[in-house]
Amino acid sequence: MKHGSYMAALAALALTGSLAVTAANAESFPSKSVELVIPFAQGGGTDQVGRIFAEYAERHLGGDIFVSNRTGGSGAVGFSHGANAEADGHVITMVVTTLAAAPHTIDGYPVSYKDFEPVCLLSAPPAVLAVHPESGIDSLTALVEKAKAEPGELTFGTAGPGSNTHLTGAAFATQADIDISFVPHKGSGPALTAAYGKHIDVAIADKAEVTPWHNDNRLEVLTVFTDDPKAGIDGVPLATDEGYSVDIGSFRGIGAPKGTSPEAMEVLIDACRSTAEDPDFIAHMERTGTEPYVLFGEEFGSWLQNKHEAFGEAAKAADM
Amino acid sequence: MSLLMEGFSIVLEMRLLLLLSGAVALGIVAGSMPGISATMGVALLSPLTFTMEPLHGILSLIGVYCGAVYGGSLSAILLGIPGTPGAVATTLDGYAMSRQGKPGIALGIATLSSVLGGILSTAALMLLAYPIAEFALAFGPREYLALVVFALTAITALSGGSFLKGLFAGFIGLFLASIGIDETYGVSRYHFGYVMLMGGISFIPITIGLFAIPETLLSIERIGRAPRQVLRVNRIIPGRSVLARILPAQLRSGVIGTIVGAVPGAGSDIAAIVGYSQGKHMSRNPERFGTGSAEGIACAESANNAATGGSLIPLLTLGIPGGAVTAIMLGTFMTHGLQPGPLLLQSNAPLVYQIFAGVFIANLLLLVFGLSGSKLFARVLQIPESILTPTILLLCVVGAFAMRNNPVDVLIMFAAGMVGYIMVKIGIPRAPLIIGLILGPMVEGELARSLIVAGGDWWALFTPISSVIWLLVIAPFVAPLIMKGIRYLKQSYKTI
Repeated sequence: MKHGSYMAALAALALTGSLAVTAANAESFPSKSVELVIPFAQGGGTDQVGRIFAEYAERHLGGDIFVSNRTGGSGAVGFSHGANAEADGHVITMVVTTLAAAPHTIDGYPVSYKDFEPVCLLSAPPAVLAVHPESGIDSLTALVEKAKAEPGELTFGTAGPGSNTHLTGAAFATQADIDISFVPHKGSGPALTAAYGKHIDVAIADKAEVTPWHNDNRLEVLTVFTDDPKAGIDGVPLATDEGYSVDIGSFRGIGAPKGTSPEAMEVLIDACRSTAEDPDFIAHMERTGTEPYVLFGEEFGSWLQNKHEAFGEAAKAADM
Repeated sequence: MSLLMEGFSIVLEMRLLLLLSGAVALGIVAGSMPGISATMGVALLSPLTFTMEPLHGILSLIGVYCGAVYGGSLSAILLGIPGTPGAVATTLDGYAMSRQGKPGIALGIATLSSVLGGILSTAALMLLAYPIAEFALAFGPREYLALVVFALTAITALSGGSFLKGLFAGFIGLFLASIGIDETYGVSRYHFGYVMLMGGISFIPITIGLFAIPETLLSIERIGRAPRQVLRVNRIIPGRSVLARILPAQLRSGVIGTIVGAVPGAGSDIAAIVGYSQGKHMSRNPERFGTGSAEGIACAESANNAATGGSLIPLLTLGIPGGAVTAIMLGTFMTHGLQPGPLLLQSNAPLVYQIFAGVFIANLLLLVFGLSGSKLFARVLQIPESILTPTILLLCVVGAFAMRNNPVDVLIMFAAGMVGYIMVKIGIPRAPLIIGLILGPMVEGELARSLIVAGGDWWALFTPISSVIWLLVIAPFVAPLIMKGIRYLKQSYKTI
């Protein structure tokens, strides 16, 4: 009897103890430094946004954030690491365009949006078409006419096979019923440089990347692939206004491993929200040419699912 | 000119000078550690510059950049391990000279050459930035293809005694380079379903493994045998005759490095390779290259540091980042609300001249640190091998891992080490393998792009600029034949 009550007391103690531990864990997230996985190399656009985010989010998360570039496999190495990390919120990942495109374009790509809990979307610049100011092509209509007159002759520089810029071009070409040649580059930067050097006719790039080139007239933007006038560029017609509906711009957001506890997700989402509202963060992002475009939690989740499907359609158009 | 003077007076202000010195020193340390490249050093520092004044932030990054490219030569010369990919060519002659008991002189030559190359490219940046930028802009896929093939022919220069063995090593490198997803059509090759191999094999762990592991194994072999001679570093500055002999090589490599650095997409690694192989072809003593030639060190080091100034040319004048390092710098400029490009000189002329002055001073700081620190650096050689060897091993593991935070890279590093050990034992040169690995994907990508832009017409690959480079590619192979032919004709003329 005495013995039994002793055991019961011990069990109760253990139970409350473990409960207390769980509660403490939930309350104390983050209990150690948070790792922000960037699946691409130092110095790229994703790296830049990731590092700016980490810098400001630290203030709002109440804990250290360290950035780790886990590169390789067209993002597969980093995404897989982030998706397979312990689901306690201490490893978060930059969830970017490649995660929506690669599952459709690379055989055996091991991850997709389904492997992540959506934390927040940070930016979603649409794709644009840009030409050299002396190219003689001054509108989308002129471009389509030229492409029809010389099938297969016009060269379109993209950020590489299966990138959103390539898929945008393919979807556009299908809708316009034109035959063009894609010239893959190692990222949009080199594609823009090639257009500026007149080595290719047209560059397809993200609006954020092309804005500085457009602003000082080094390149002329012909169209912006969005149906949201707020996301456009002043004085540049939207592709939807000319009858083309292509909506697979690039995006950058934050995800946590699937199955992360609701408590940790809440802390992460709150930190993301405060960061996205931080005027210093917004100003910093805008200085680098990226306007914040923000969604949180489940709202970001369904947005991500739509993107995944849109990229699937475009990949079919690109015959990948 | 007054703007430049004003620039110097601002950069020489104590606080900024201290910051720049700190950045250069930090860069030297980062560059000398295998696996921590100039790109990584600059990327790690860049968030810290967000809150600085624009000039301070930009010059910090430039200081780290110049320091890291120079620092790569320290471990190359002292330990036979290139600290950065740009120092692979330096390893050949620098380590050989160091083993001949002259590590101080080797460091001295590397320092003087780096500084001269850096200053030459800074002068080009100040005086000829716009014409050079226009020229660099003319480099499309066809010109770049020719340039990369030109660099690939350096395998002949880096092969040491046996060209066939060098070619074999080069092909291994090209094969390794073909692993992963190709950048033209997205086809994946040779990864056998392993995600880790999908992204291809990074050349940093291969370089570390290939060069560092054999050294550690060889030092273990030496244990219990004759004690290693303790090297005393007395001289740093080489004699006047050596200085006179290497000056033409330094100047030529400085020009090559500046131009290659200015071409978008090419960096200090390609600059050093091209500089070294041209140096060997032009040298009066080509047979000494690879055996501890002062000229060899001069060619590689002058070219790789000249590429730093060269890469700033398209960045500042056209707003085009030529590579990863200048891409990070572009981000830093924009963070401070500055847009590099043709308008920067108009809207922010004082800042541009302050940057010019800063790059110049950063190179002078390399001279100060290099000459005053060489004796200290060379003390590494006095550390007993029982401590030095495990320390190097540890640094290798850290370096291989840090590149991509990928444990597989550590395994790749050790595997490359075993291969490297066998290569040393059977006399196959290792540098050509690295050349193949670095240049393989570039050759493939540029060829694909060239053919797409040319509409599949192979003859269209020969543009005016690319034709000149193609001539340079075949010159070393054809020239001896022509000379033979002329001699033969002369002979037969005499006999008639």
